[in-house]
Order: sequence, then structure tokens, then C-alpha cells
Amino acid sequence: MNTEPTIAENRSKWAHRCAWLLACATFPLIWVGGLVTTTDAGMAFRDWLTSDGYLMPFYPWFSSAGDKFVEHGHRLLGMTAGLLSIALVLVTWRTEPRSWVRKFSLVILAGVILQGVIGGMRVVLDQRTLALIHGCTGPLFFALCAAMVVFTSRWWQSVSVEVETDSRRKVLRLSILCVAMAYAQLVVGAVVRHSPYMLSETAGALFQSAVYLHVLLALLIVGHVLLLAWRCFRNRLQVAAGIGLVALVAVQLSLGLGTWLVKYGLPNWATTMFGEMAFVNREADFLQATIITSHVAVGSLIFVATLVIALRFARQLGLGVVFLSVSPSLMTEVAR
Amino acid sequence: MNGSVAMNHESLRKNLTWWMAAAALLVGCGKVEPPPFRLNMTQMVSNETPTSPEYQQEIADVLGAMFGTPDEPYAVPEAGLDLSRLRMAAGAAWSDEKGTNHGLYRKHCVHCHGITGDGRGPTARFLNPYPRDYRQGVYKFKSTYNADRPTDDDLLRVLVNGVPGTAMPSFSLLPHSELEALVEYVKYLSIRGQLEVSLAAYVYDDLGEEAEVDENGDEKVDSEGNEITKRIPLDPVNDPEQREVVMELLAEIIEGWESSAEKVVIPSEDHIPADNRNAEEIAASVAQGRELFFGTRANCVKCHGPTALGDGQQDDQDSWNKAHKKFLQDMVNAGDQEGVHPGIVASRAEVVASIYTVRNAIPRNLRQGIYRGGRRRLDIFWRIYTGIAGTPMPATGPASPGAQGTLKEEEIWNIVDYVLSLPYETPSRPLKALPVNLEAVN
Repeated sequence: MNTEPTIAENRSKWAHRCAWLLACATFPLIWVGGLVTTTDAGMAFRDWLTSDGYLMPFYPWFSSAGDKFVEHGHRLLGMTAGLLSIALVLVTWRTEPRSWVRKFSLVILAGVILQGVIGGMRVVLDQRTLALIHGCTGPLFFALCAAMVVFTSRWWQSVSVEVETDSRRKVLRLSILCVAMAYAQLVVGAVVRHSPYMLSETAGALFQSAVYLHVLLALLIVGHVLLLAWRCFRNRLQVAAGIGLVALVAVQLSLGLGTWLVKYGLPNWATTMFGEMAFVNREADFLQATIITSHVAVGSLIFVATLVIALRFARQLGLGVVFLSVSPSLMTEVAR
Repeated sequence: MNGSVAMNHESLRKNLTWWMAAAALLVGCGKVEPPPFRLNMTQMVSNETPTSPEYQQEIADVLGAMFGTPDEPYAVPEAGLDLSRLRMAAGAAWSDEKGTNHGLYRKHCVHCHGITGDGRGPTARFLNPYPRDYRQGVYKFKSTYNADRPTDDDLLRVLVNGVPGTAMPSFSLLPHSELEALVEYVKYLSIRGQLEVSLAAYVYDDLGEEAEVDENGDEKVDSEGNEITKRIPLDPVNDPEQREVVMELLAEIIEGWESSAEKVVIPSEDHIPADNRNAEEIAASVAQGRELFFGTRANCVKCHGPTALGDGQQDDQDSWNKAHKKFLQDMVNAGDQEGVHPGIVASRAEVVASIYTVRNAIPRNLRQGIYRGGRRRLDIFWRIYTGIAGTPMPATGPASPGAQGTLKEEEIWNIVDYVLSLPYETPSRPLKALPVNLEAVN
């Protein structure tokens, strides 16, 4: 059942390093993107690809302040992610023997371009709906980057395929369900974030429905993640990742409650139970911006973590074996 | 390898097609209608001023001509509003090249207070209390007499300090110029909303149907001998008399706002407690305040309760909730609504469905030390002296300059001392209530 160890030995580490670099650049990109929404800085510039007429790298970023600083920081990080994606494609096509991984690097490049275009169109058309879509597709791109890290890792190429059992198949199904729920939660969260700024008659109903759904999904995710962690432990598969995921979800729950508190205060029912809030929130101050934006970022992290776990399960249970069947001649060519 | 390259070309071609389709979709998304102000439908379909859809449209047109739109606000010179500030606050949120922020209301306020300032933004239903509806021009936390409009400083103070214990945050990080622009825009929405109500009343009271007359001045009748009538349109542009009335209605509203600075309650220097009072003097004032708190003249105990935990009378509402409650009751009692314009009847069910759950005004728990209108001694003095407009909290000072109040200023300062001492009492062991307290509660 063991896979070929020679592949792991011959693999180039550069694609993996490059993928890590891209993923590490994407997480702050998501964070700052969240900050753009928190501070409503999306329209700090009315132009794109330029910023107030400057080509992106030449805008005097350090002389800017407030919304412009946040939005241009997001743009610069986006540009960095774009450049790193190009580098990833070049490195992967130069060093990676598996053709599907090479093609996958192109998907990542296409993803970053598409994400940039949606973000740009949000500015050019001044469209809140596009900001929402941009917020939903951002974590998808982050997920692609994280998947690339997994695919290019030594572990992926050298892991022993475990015996497939009913119990393990169930763990895989559960992890895939967690991925789907974590992403759905991000989409609903994006609606909660953006619908208050929509001006249509239905924005209120949209916000209210999204809030209820967000809470419901949070409860479902907590239940499923706990179950997943338990099954990881029982099956001795990805135990550390399972524990990490539970910790992330616990942090996220606290951040979610904090987000509501610092943005909207205590709801009516909570006031009758706990009394009134004894402090005043300050719009867009450090505490508010940090809590709300962290909630967005950790949400993405949970989505990506569930995806990584699911991918690793799939790999351990043999679903990834097919991807490793590169031809020996190709290997020789790459090695040369 | 050639096969692989061909496959990549194919993949790129597919990607390109996909992007083009996406770009087309995005361009399609670009056409968005500018947001309109919404009519005060609770007023339009109420029993007090039932307004037909034709008049509703005409009122919207008049308001549009006098106040513009959320994207392009306008104010007739008589309104005395600063147009440059309004333009800074209105429209979509964006920043110009100098870094000046525009669209401030939409960036900071619209999600709770709504595009029309009706307190019905998308988040409003979840908030406690519901966000303020500006359209009556009634504000709780101000320095002026109960029935008077707030000053710019009052509105600014709420923006800077926020409202503790509620969802209203402090905007103290915004530059002063932005806060001033927001204050101006809030006033603009108030004045617009007040005029809307006045126009609905004017249309109901003075316009409506009139008999048609022929060239001889005789009333026209139909074949059955019934009088033929026609609707008098609201058209101040072509009707000088109507124009004069509309401008008078506006002037009356503006007068209320412009005179607010003269209506500020300034405590008499003679009665303001000294800063250097000793413990005995403060204790004496607190004891006096406590007696007034439980006494029949101030009667604070009625709502704030014998323990001051806010557990007295809790079944009253503020004026905004009361208006909605009355509207809902009127609709329940409306019966078959015979004689009401069918357009109004058709709208009523929709308006009923849009009204949020009516909430009672819960008196403040004075032992928490959370004061929504500010925690300075002066703020609490104002709350007691002028009451809290729009709520069951009554004024104990005079209702207007020169009038007679229930309490004297020194007595109000005594209550201020008592209220400020309450958070430091042990709530689980409140002082023994005075006999009058028991009488009031029982």
C-alpha cells in the first residue's frame, strides 16, 4: 500500500516554499480586505488599476492616512499575491513533475486575476454587491493557495495510504461537510457584513435572515467540528489538526460574540438577562476594527483548515494516489 | 509534452471565455437606480391624515423639489441649511484625492437610521432601543426645553459621546468637520420629515375634492343629480396660494430649529452646588434628593421603582412606539374601511407588516451608573429639569422660559446628588423606604 518514496525524495522544494509564501501573503490580504469592509474604505479611491491616478506601486502609501492607507494597503497586498502567483506558476512549471499540480498553479493565477478584477469592478462600478462577491471569493483563493501547499508538501507525496474502512470514510465525508459548512458560513457572514449598507427595500430582510442563518450555521459547525475532532482522535487521523480546528472554532465563537457586541451592543433579550452594556462602542476604533476583522480572518482560516484536513484525509485514504502517477520519463526530464 | 501544451492552450482559452462572461455580468451589475427617500407611510395611511396615492406622489414631488434626493440633497435657502455640509454627508461613500470623505451618512449612519432617517435601516429591528426616527424632529438628549428642538451642540454631543448602553457608538474619531456635516444632515432629514407630516395634514385638511363648476359658476351635476367633484392637486409650483402655505409650514419648522439656541436651559449660578462641598453637605443634599425621589411632587419612584432599579411602571412606551401601537390598534379597529380610498386600504396591510414589535419604555436602572444622555452633573440636571423628550420621563422644571415648574432648581440638584449616589449604595441592601414610597407603590 505504500506509495513510491522516490518521488518525495526527488521532489523540488521550491514549489512548496513558493506556495507557502503565497499562502502566507494571502492571509494578511484577507485580513486587510476585512479591514477595508470594517472601515468602509472600499471607495477610498474611485479608480482602478490606478490609485488616484498613480500606478499602484508608485502611490505615496506611507504619506496617506485613514481609508486610503487601508485600501491601498489591500491593493498592494493583492498585487504582491498576484506577483507571487506568477512566481508560483514559473517555479511549478520549471520544477514540478506532476502535470496536474502545474495546471493547478495556473488555476491559482487565474483565481488571483479574477479576484483582482472583481475587486477592481467593485470600485469602478461602486457596487456593494460586488464587494460582497469579492468577500466571498477571497477565501476561495486562500483555499487554493493552502491546497497548493498541501499538494506540494513532502507529506502528500510520501504518506502511506491507510486501510480504508467505513469509519474512515465517514471521517472523510464529515470533513467534506465541514468544508462546505465553513464556506457557507463565510458567504452568509459576508451578507451579514454588507447587507446593512445596501439601500434596497429588501436589505433589512436580507440582513435579518443572514444573521439567523449565521447563528444556526455557527451551531452546526461547532457540533460538526467537535464530532470531526472526536473521530480524528478515534481513528488516529490528523489528531493535531482536529484539536487545532476546535481551538480555532472556540476563538471564532468568542470573536463572533465580540463582533456583535462592539458593533451593535446587546440585543433586547440579552439586556433583560444581563443588564445594559456599561460602555460605549467607538466607531472604527482599534478594538472594534481588530475584533470584527479578526472574526472575518479566522473564519477564512477555519474554512482553509477544514479543507486541508479533508484533503489530507482524502490523501491518506488513497483518493490522491492517482495524482501521483507521473511517468518515469517525465521525472527524469524534470530532474535533469 | 506537445499534448500537454495543447491542453494548456485549451485551458487558457476556456479561462478567457469565463472571464469575459464574468466581465459581462459585472457590467450588467453596474446599472443601479439611485436610492430614493421613502414616504412616511405610517402617516400617509393613518386614520388622522389618510392620503390617497395621488397625493402621496405629489407630496413626494414637492419634497423632492425642496430637498432633492439622497444622492443630491438640496435645501431651499429658507431652510437655513448649509448645502456644502449636506453634500459632504450625502450620497455614496467615497474619498476625494485630498482625502476628504464624502457620503458620511451612508458610511456611518444609514445601516441603522435608514436612508430617509426613519430609524428603519437594515439592522434596526435587532437593536435595543430601536434607532432614532429623525422625522419628528424629537430628540431625547438635549439641553433645551422638553418640546423644543435640540441645538447643534446637543446633536454633536451625542455623536461624539455615543449613547451608553445602546448600539449608538461614539464617533469621536471623526474629524470635527465630518461631525458637523453629519449634524447638518440629521437636521436636514428631520426638517424634511417634519414637513412631510405637515404636508399630509395640509392635504387632508385643506385639499381633497371640490365641486366642479361650469362657465356660469354653477356646480356641475351628473345625470342622477349628484354633484360632480374633482380632486384639488397639491401643486405649489403653479398655485401661488399653495406655495405660500407650504413656505409657511416650512418656516414654522425652521423657526423651531433656529430658535433652539435661545431655548437652552442654563442653570442658575446661585443654585449650582459648589465643587468644594464637604461630606456632610453632600450627604444632606443626597438625603433631600432621596426624599424628593420618593415624594409625590417629583414622584421618580413611580417609574424608577422603590429600589431605583427601574422596576416601577414599565408598561408605557415612548412616542415613537406609542404612535406605532396606536396605528396598529386603529387598523385592528378599522372594520371594513368603507369610504377610505382603495389605494390607502391596499397599503395598510403592508405598513402593518413593516412595523416592528412595539417595545415598552423601560425606566433607567439608576444603580448601574449608565446614563444614556451623559454622566456629567449637568447632563443629569437637564434630564430631570427638561425630562426626556418623546419618552414617559416628564420635565420637573418649567415647560418653557418663564413658566412654573414642579420643582425648584435647588431641588433638582438635590435629586442629581441622590441619583449620582445610587450606584454606590449596596443594591442588595437598599435603604429603608420612606412611608411615602410605600404609598406610591401600593
